[in-house]
Amino acid sequence: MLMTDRAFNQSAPAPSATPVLGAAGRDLRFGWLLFALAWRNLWRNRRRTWLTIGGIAFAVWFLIFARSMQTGTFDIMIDNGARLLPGHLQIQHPNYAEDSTVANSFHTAEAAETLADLSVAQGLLHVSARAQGFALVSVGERSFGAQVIGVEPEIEVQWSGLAAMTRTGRYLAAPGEAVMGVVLARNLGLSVGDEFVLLGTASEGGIAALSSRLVGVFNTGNHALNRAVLQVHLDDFRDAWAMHPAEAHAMVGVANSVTGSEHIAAQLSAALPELAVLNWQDLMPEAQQTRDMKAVSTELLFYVIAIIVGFSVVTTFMMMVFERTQEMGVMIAIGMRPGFIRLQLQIEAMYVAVVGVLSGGTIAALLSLALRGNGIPVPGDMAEIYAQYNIPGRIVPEFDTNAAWSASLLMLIGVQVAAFIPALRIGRLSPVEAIRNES
Amino acid sequence: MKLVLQLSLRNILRNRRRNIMLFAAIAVAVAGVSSMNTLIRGFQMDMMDSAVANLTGHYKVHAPGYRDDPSIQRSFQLTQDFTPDFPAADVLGWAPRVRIPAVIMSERETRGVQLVGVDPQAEAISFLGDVPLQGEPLRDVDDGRVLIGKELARQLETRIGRRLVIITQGADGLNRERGFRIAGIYDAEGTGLEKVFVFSGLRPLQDLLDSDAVTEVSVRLVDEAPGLQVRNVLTELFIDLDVKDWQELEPQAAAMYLFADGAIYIWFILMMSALTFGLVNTLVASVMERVKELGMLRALGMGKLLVVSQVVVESSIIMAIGVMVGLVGGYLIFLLISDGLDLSAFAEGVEMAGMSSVLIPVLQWSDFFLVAYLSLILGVLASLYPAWRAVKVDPLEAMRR
Repeated sequence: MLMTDRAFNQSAPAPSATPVLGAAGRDLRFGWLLFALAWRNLWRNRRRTWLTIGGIAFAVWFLIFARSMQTGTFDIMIDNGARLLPGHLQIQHPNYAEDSTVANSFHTAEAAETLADLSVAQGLLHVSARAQGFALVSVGERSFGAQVIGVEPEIEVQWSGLAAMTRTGRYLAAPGEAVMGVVLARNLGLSVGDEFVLLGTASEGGIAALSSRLVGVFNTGNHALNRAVLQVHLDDFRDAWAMHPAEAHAMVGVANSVTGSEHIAAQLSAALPELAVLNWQDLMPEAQQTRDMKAVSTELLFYVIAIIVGFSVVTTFMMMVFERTQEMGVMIAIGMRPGFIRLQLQIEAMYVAVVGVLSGGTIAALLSLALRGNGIPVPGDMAEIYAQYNIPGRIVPEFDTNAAWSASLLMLIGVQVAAFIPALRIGRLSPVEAIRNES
Repeated sequence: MKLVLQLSLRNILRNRRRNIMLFAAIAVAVAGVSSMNTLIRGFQMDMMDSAVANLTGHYKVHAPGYRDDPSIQRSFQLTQDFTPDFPAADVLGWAPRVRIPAVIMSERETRGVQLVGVDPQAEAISFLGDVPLQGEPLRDVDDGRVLIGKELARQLETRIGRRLVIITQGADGLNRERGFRIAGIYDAEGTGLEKVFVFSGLRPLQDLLDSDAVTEVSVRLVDEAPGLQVRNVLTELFIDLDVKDWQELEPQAAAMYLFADGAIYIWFILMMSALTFGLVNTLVASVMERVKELGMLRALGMGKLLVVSQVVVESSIIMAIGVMVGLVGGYLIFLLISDGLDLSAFAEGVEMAGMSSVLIPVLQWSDFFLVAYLSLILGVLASLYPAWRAVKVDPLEAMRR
């Protein structure tokens, strides 16, 4: 301790001082010296430095890439889910979400006007009205229950997943026509061109009856849709269910992207206080939660990896301190403050972390760039599950800048902490013993 | 050999502090992997259990064509005193059912459902056996009332004691219509089951349909493993019928189940890759520190193989100690979370994946062994490069330093 104090005092005359520069310049020069020394020290043992950097780069690469894969997958999954049926946003009667009866309809005129006036609503590529209810679908003596959706086919055909997944026949085009799920058609024994009858309960409690002709059968990979959904022309639905020609149960909007639609939904919600505006999270709560849950497990994995890498950084710096004990003793003896040696070590850690983070980030960025075109194909069995969750058979990573920032920051801080622990030893170093130390 | 062991051990002890860090890194990795494995196994078991309890069972017997056209026409007869001759210890139970699509109507709403005629005593094998229930359960196979799901009750705006009209197709292909009183409302995990399944006694449903046949027999095993024997009994009993296992009946759940097997390896590879950097680093350092003495030993006539095995043994010992500590850590984490992790914040997403909202970890010793085994292999692999460095030491050069 006595020695350290003397070292402290001796550092005051500062041997490297150049009189012309004065005190401030001296500090500056000294600061540069520390950075230069740190950099050189690092390359005294190239292999070790690269292995340490490799560990950090791996951790950073892993988090960014895993997150990018997830973001890419989830964006597409949510977008496909939205385009399958619900759309990116829906305007509804305020009670409809809670109580989906035919009576909870609304007049579309006001909403349509607001949509036309609101500049943000120009971001919606397609908007159309829907009316929906439950009905008994009958052919001869066979009857099954199904959700009947009255749509404007000329608009929905442009984006609807049901239209795209019509496997036999074609999508609905005019009144008098209908499309239904493959299981429903099979249960009813119907094929394209056959006629059938719909029976439901109209808003005033009357009977809604409609005779229609099957023009197409869709197969979506979603059992509920295949089993119990049927689409008819909006005009047919309104006629049969005795609805006013301007009434609807939902106005469905589709924007450029899922993320873009959130903003539009929020603005619309403010502009239409009397109606309910549902965004994609409201329409597909399970998609949101699946995303959150996956994110939690990736995060957990990342923290464990960060801890493992942290330990290996600690070992590396321990080795560095141990190897250099002798020279550190010399430096302290000739007047270097232990604090500066520790600072130099922290700078070395910073270099290692920065190089590691940059290389990990670059690899992740390059990899997502390279995969942008084709993506990674999903193996057969998984592709089947993915289809059910509306995930395509190929995963195209979407470089996640947030993940890149948080991984980089975490690693930079983590490595500083990891280097700090072995550096503590330097403060306790007594020059005489350190110099005598043979390593 | 004893010499190699001794030298390696001494080398490890020489650098205690550094090696403690390395042990810690290995232990964290191993504890992380092994405790995560218990969660993945838990997820897997849970998914299988719910797939099996969803009226599927481990095995199911259908008439041919039923799966394409689920109607009472695609049914088969069971004799009155039908008792299959299963190896008693393997089978938890079996249940005959009639399961057909139907339309259900309250005073206000209409929905499409699956109408299931059951023998309530036999349904201990499905989720119906222990599902929380308001009102009364079905008394017996002759009970002419229905049980409906909570979500369906909400949609139909009905409650216990009210009547519902059910329309379905009879054995002659003509529609039948009958009123059923609601005995109780069940609250299953998730709304998926609640919306779809309506239960009544088997006999009244058969009467309504003018049939004495059933559409399925479901068999639940005590443990999945000895299933094949049971399957053989079933195929012999029902010669003209389809016997399917749960993987065939629920291909998506089965694929998820397989995927979870793979996830265990993915976790292992990721964590161990992160670990390898530190491990190789330390081993190389410990070789380089000893260049002088390695040179001396080589000059004295120590064979290359002995030098290599020294490094490999050192690495294996480090790994083995780290793995042991890690496995103990993993086991402690398992004990800590053995009551289950509550995932209810994500419950809707979880239920979509076919699990319940509390994830209970399942410990399989074989997974622990697998982790230990793979880690030791990794320890040997990681020591190859440092060992090569050690062999490359030129005795003359090294001693001159």
